[in-house]
Amino acid sequence: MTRSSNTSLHGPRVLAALSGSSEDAALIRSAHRLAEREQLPWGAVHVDGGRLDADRRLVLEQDASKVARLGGEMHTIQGQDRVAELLHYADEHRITTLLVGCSRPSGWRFWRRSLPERLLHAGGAFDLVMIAETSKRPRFRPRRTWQRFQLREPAIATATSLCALGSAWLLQAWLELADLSLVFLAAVLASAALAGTRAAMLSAFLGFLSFNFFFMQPRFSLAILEKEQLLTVVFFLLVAVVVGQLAGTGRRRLHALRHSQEQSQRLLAYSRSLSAATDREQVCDIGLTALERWLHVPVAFLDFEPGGSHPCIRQAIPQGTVPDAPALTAASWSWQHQRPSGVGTGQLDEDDQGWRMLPLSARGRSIGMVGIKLGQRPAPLSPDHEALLESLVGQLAMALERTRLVGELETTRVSEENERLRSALLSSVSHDLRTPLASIIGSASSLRDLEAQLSPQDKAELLDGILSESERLDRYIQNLLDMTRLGHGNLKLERDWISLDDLVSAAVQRLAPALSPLELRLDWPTDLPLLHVHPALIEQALVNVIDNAARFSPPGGQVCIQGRLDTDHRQLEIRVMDQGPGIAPEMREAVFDMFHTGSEGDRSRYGSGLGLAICQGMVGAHGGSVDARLGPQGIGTMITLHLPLPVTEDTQDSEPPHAD
Amino acid sequence: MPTERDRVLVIDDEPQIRRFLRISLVSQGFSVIEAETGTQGLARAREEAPDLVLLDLGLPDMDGQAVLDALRAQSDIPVIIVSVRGQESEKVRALDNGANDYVTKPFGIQELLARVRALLRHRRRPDTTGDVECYRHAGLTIDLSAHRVSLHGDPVHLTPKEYAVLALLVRQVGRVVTQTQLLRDIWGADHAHDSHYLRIVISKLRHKLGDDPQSPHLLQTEAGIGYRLLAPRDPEA
Repeated sequence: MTRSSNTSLHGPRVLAALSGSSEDAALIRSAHRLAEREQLPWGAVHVDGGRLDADRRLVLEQDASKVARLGGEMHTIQGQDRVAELLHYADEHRITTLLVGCSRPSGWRFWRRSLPERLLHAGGAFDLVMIAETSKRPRFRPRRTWQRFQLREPAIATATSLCALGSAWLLQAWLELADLSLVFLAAVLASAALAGTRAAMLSAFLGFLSFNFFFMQPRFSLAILEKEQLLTVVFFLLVAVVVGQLAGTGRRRLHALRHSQEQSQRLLAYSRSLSAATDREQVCDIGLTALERWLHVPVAFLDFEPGGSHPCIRQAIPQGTVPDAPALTAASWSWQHQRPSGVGTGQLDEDDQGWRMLPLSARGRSIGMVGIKLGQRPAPLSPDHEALLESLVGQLAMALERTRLVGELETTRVSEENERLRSALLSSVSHDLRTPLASIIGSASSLRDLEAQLSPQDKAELLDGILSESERLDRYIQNLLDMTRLGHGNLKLERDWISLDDLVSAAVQRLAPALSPLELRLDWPTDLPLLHVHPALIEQALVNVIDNAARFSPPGGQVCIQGRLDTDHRQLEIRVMDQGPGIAPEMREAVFDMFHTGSEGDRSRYGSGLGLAICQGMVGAHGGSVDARLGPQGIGTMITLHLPLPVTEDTQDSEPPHAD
Repeated sequence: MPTERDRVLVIDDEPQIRRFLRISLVSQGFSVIEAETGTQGLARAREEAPDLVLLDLGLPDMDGQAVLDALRAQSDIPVIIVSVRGQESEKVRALDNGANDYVTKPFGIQELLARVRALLRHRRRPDTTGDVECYRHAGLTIDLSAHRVSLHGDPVHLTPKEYAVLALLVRQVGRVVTQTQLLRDIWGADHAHDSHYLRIVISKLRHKLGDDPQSPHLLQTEAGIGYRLLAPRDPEA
């Protein structure tokens, strides 16, 4: 029954009234399911009367995170009258469906009607849905470890009482009877501080007996004759009980405080180390280690292949732990439903020795799963342990999501870079292939179409052009192939001994047409050591550099090739200098990048070629390097190839070092 | 064929390209001036006053677009861009900046010669008769002075926008007119990017003028750039 269909859709329409009890889980589930089905916003509300105990608060905290995870809104209303507050809220927010649990709020106030009855009685403009708690769902039963305290508490109580008895016996000569009772009271306090309320009560009782038996007239009997003494004893007992209770409570609070402090410290350390982790494995490892240290049971991180239904175990502590078949079934179920299953969850938990599967989800997507062999623990988890578990696992999910996003970002960046490189490659390749092709096609089409008007000399010139441009194309394709080989890293160096003379003259010969209009100067000492390199590769590197120099030289300009040993005779430097326009200082490193001028298109002749990048790759493959500097006298460009010389005895002897 | 030896300035840094252009153009009766940088090209254009410029966009010293701007600042000499830059944006930019035509490398010599001839013809005609007033091709007659269009003798009824587009193309016959230019001139600067207007008008024009959009003999689409009304004696027509 909708009150008004035209109200704004903000705020919940389906509301679960939570109470901090175990039925909350069922309420949240039902509200979520109902809202999903009706496609309505939903939420949960809790009326806080300020009387909640710690356990209920924990349950409510858990509820809040559960509600948030399932996409609802959680509100807490401060107020004493639950029914009135709920009705007011429902009215104010135009709630269409209110879900309440049907258990009685407090078991012992049998005369009170249950919440649904009172809501029905009060009436409201909403559907009231009562949710019965699943009977299968295990309620948390605090199984206190009685065993340990049963011995410790009476022992401490007896010991302190005996001490008090001894002290009182020694002091009885100096102290009044009423003052002696204070000694026993001290024993009660000591018991309370050491072992808690129960020990204090026992100690009070023992004190009462021994005080009565040993110190009051008639001595060594429990009979009390004097009224004053009776009063003393009764007051002692009263005071001892009250003081013992108070001290015991104080002790418990202190413990709880210390415990919660430890817990927050641990959580803090945990989240710190999670946030420092950089990859998925590390995050999983930190998460699993923290869980294992805390719960002392095997833990595992599971994952599913996209679209698959079979879990893969990614990591486990102790290593090699494999969840059994029911656990894996539970894992698949959890993956599909994005809800925990297994021990203590009400889903597929018939196996008491089994696992609990906690799916990790972020933004509605499953991103992994943590399996914990909770069945191995002696007792079910207490609500605060459940809450801690939930926050540990929640943080793990968040950290995983973070690493995933970071990874995605990185992938995008890399693929963008690849994309840029590829487009630079394409533009460079298309330019460098087209330029010679333009001459070839143009010349060839002129030869065909204009044949009648061309002189024999013109035809020869066009044919020459076609040939030389074809050769240039071939060189470029060879460069491309070399680059691909360099890029794949499977370039095999076949080193051989070769002199600089041979290398340079081979390169110069290949470039004869380009160099013909220029002045070529070769300059190196005759006693240079032999190089131990892959001749074809270094020749190609030289060809690329000299080709560049030639292309940039003004007509009639000088190209100078210089060979020098560096100062400590470890490297041979081959310098190629031109008198061209030079390279701007900020570009001198970039010219060696592959396709660095892809974005400039055909503007710069340096960048259009792979030449210098290939040269650097080839020299680099020999352990050398290439750099670009300003030419001598500040004119042009000087490209220097640094080639390491072999350090064998042989060459050292045959080629004695000499002054440069 | 050119009568008084039209002079063509070739601005290109590739010697091989300059060489074959020189041989081909000279064989067709043009005289050729060469320049290998933008600065040099601008100087030659000033000194020699050529009849047409073939301009490469990738020059070592300055960008071809800048050379074009400088050329346009000096004169309205016909400029054909000859470049490996095949992207539409480059072509549109050059054409919008005042280039008269665009040939993408590599190209066949006939294509280039046809463009050169068309430009020179167009350039020469206004000197004598003022403006292109009449276009006759494949049964179509467009008489701009009489404001009349007829196909095989029958008058063709055109809307004012259709007529404006057609008239603009007739005045630039044989040359590419960019979409932006058409839109700006006919619809106004605010509609410079509303290319769908233009597409509709062109398709109606094709329909009314009996042009086949698959293999047009009148209105040629230069994909992503603009439209060209094919010249009556263009070899491509």
